[in-house]
Amino acid sequence: MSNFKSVRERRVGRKGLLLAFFAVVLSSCSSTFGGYRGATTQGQSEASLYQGFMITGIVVAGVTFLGLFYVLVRYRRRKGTNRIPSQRHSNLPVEVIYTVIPVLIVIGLFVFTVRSENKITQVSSNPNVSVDITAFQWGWRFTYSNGVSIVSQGANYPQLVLPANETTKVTLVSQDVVHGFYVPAFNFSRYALPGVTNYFDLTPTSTGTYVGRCSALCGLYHGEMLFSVRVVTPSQFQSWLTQQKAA
Amino acid sequence: MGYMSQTIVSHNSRESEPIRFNRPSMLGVGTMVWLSSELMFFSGLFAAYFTLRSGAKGPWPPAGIKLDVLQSGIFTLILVMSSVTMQKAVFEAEHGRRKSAIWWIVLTLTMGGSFVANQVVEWTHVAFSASTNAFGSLFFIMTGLHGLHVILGLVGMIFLIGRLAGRTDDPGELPVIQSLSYYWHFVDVVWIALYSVLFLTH
Amino acid sequence: MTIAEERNDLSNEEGGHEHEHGGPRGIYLWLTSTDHKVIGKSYMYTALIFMLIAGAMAMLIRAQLTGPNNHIVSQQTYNELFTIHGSMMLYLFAGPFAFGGFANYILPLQIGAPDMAFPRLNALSYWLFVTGGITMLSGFFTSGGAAAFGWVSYAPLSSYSNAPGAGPDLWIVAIALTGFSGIFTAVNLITTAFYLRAPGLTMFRLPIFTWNMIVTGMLILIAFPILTAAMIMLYADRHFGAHFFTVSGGGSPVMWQNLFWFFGHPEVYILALPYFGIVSEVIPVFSRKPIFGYKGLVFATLAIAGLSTGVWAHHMFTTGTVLLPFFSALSLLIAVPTGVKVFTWIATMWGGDIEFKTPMLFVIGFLFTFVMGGVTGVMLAAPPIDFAVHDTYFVVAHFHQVLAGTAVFGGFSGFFYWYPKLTGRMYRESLGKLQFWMAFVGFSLTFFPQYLIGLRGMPRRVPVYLVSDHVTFLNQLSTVGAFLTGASFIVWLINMWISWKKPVAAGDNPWDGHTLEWATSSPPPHHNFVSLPPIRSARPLWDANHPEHADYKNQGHGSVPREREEQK
Ligand code: HEA
Ligand code: HEA
Ligand code: CUA
Ligand SMILES: [Cu+2]
Repeated sequence: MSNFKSVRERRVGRKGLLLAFFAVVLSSCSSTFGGYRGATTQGQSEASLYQGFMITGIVVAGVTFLGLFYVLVRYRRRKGTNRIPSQRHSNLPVEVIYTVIPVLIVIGLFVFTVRSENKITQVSSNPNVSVDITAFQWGWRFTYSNGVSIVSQGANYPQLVLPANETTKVTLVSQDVVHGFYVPAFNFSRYALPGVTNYFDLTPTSTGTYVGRCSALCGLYHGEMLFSVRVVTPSQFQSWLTQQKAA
Repeated sequence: MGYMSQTIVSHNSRESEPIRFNRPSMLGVGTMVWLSSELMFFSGLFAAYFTLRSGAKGPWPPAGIKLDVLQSGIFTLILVMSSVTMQKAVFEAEHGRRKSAIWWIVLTLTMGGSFVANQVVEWTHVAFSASTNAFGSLFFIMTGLHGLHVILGLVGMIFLIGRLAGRTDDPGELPVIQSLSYYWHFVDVVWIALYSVLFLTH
Repeated sequence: MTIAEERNDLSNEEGGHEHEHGGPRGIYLWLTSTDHKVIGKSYMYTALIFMLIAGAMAMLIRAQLTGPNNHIVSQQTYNELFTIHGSMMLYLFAGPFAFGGFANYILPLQIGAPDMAFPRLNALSYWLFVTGGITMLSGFFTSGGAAAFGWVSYAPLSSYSNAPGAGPDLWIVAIALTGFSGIFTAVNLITTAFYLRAPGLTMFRLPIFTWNMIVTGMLILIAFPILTAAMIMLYADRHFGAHFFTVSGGGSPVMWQNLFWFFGHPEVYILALPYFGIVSEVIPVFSRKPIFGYKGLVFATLAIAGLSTGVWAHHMFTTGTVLLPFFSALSLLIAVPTGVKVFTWIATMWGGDIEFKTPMLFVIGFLFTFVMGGVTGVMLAAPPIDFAVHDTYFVVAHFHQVLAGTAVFGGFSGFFYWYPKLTGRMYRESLGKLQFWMAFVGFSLTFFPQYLIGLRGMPRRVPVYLVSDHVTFLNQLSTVGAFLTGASFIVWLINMWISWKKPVAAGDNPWDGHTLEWATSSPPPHHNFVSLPPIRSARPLWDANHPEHADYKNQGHGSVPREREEQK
């Protein structure tokens, strides 16, 4: 027996893998693999990228583990034997294959990454709404362009109100240390850095209330630097804004 | 053990071999490897310098920073020349002229010492401090850490002089003087870079 | 003969401690020893003790997180705990265990050298490391407590006004000390590997373990000095009013992140490569085959090192200050050489005669855990995905899988593999296997739930969370796993104790090893070798013990594919 004897066996293995692959792909197109579907257009773009990566990851890890498992079972030492296996130590075609295939996969992943990334990081020049967000130890200040301002007060978490299906441009700064503006349901976070101003767009797609939190360690009460985001219809948003202005 | 074996040459054998200049000693190799980390260390400082410089809001260096370019330039020249004298000392030592080597090292030591002295004078005379602004911080940290390296080299030279003045059959002294010269050249080159970014940007 | 001259050099360096022949005895000789074997062992055991202490901190962390609003430790203590847990695990365990411990002990043996190039410098490294460790731990005993700004110590949270007290200063000093220790060890190992190789041992005949240590050393020389420089700047900011990281004086907090991660990312490969090296020794021996694709493996190691200096900003995707496509592309690319390694290891086992002794089981645990963590690392390398899970438990799960995969599974694989060589004694196989299964199940149970916890939005470094996050049960699972892992280390301690009290002699070469460390007695004599086998390939000892299957007769690609039954 040579060590690469089982060409036939390998074919069978490949067919099995192909089947497994399709099973995974089919069953997972609807799954978000534990992630959020994304309550903004940006977040949805992330969700589909994540889905693609997850499927690729399952296939890559699956193939690797199948190979590993096969080798471990097939070539385990059997009781009472003491053989010296073939001392083969290289095989150029095999080495080229296991280098080139990952390169191709990585190129593919990169292309999708860049596309998604461009969508998510795009900042519109004429947004429907603009909000200035300031992070500080340990709270948030949301200031709308008409001067309405909402601030953390004691144990009351502030609420950021956004209109659905409209684009809000956020201007993010920090007053002291590094904080992170993070809304898990939006699949998005961005640091608030002292000395740096960050801009990003949020385009919520469905109404509802979501948890937001500080993601970057910022001192003693980092874990309690929460806020919430309420997404309402544009008309509700306008009336809320004027009401706040009056108050 | 059942295999043919090659016997290890006893590590105690001390037959003298002719000195060879073409292959660096083990200490020399170690020194060069270590200097590569020193290079990265100063690279970190330079990275900080260029980051802060590119982020500066006003002129660079900021208004109010005045340095004596000429005086430091003279001592820069002295430090560079001390590399030459150091190398001369190495040549002398390689040809077994230990007395002469000692004198060249003493000369190098004096030149390096005068450089440090000038730096002390400079530190006490500049009108800004490490807490004035980012340039001040960079100036003191960069010149300070470099100065520390120079002082370390000077201390090394003192020990080296002691060693050269001692036993004549000391087999380790040539690698030591060579290694110290690598270090000294390195410290010099770093200073040239430091002088250009800190002083010549006016 | 050149070798004679080199050996001469060495004996000069060591000067007058011939009295140490036969191995040092007693505490005084241990304190003053410059023998690489003594230092290597001390490194290993010290690092393992630090691991147990840091692991005990992890137990407290996990206990706190079993409920959304526990009060087992205070918020301040919690922050100190994860900061010191992370710092100790990385700086005082994972790095020194391999690069101070295994490298020191094994590398000179593998290259047939009598000691390290600079034995006294080696001792200095060890004592710097111990001092650094004690310094870091002593932070807990200061009035303000230990450092509490995370192992990354982001400015300006680490400034004096935000982190007053001596604890943070002790942390800074500790990092600087261990940093110098690492740099000195790197200088020593690289010089040793280039200068003290036995005749016949060319660069491309070096064992992969040695290769990985050389490359790790190079990475240390590149990365650690930057950390040292950053620490000095941080210290200057804290105490001399400097403005490196303060916006008001023209400094830049983001610069800290750039400097730190320029070190920090190579650091994670500094922690991984040595263990890759260990695995590359264990797999061939327990498969009774040469490593597959030797040169590919060497170039993959160099490629990982090269790429790892250009990916640091993937830790800063959410700062909005870095070039996303560039750092994303390079980060994704690292999957390729790493994949080459994984496939190489599988190909080495392919067609082999695999024996599932404890070291080999740990290798399998390593492969499984590491590949899982690596694949999620690839996800993090995509900025959009990172935006969603940055600073959440998804990241915590990623890095524990790669780190535990390497430092714990790879580390214990090497520990059991070389334990007979280190001590001359055998461990108990059944206890070793029990430890493996408990650790493997425990780790998986700890960290798989954490991916989901992260995806549901639980940030890291928080002592409390919300009931509405739906992560309570997952956190409890994780804690159960953590305690199971903890128990596995108790099994290990019992194993060590039994093997110490009731020694079973191991013999010089219990595994039919391939490399030179197995060609001497267990434990080796003071200057390591009495005689060396001729070195005509990368596996001199295999060649000597199996002349019919010797590598030097088999230099063509894949010839002699014959198998034979052999009765021993
Ligand atoms: C041993 C340590 C180690 C190792 C080896 C790695 C390996 C990798 N890491 Fe990880 N990482 C850490 C330790 C490590 N990491 C730590 C400690 C942190 C957190 C620091 C902190 O914030 O506290 C971190 C954080 C971290 C981040 C930042 C996350 C964040 O903070 O938001 C990113 C982002 O890109 C990342 C990426 C990667 C990648 C791409 C790899 C790759 O090298 C992985 C490559 C391996 C594989 C991919 C598996 C095997 C390959 C194959 C089977 C081939 C085929 C595969 C494909 C084609 C996909 N890591
Ligand atoms: C090699 C690296 C390494 C290793 C092995 C581990 C091992 C473990 N880690 Fe750690 N961890 C890090 C590196 C590592 N960690 C880093 C870098 C961070 C980030 C820090 C930061 O955010 O800044 C982190 C953070 C971190 C967190 C996140 C904290 C937070 O963000 O809030 C958690 C939470 O679950 C955790 C858990 C664990 C657990 C349960 C283990 C277990 O696997 C541990 C198992 C070991 C033991 C349990 C030892 C058992 C000991 C005994 C039984 C005897 C005790 C005896 C004596 C004291 C003498 N770790
Ligand atoms: Cu603000 Cu964490
Ligand atoms: Cu990284």
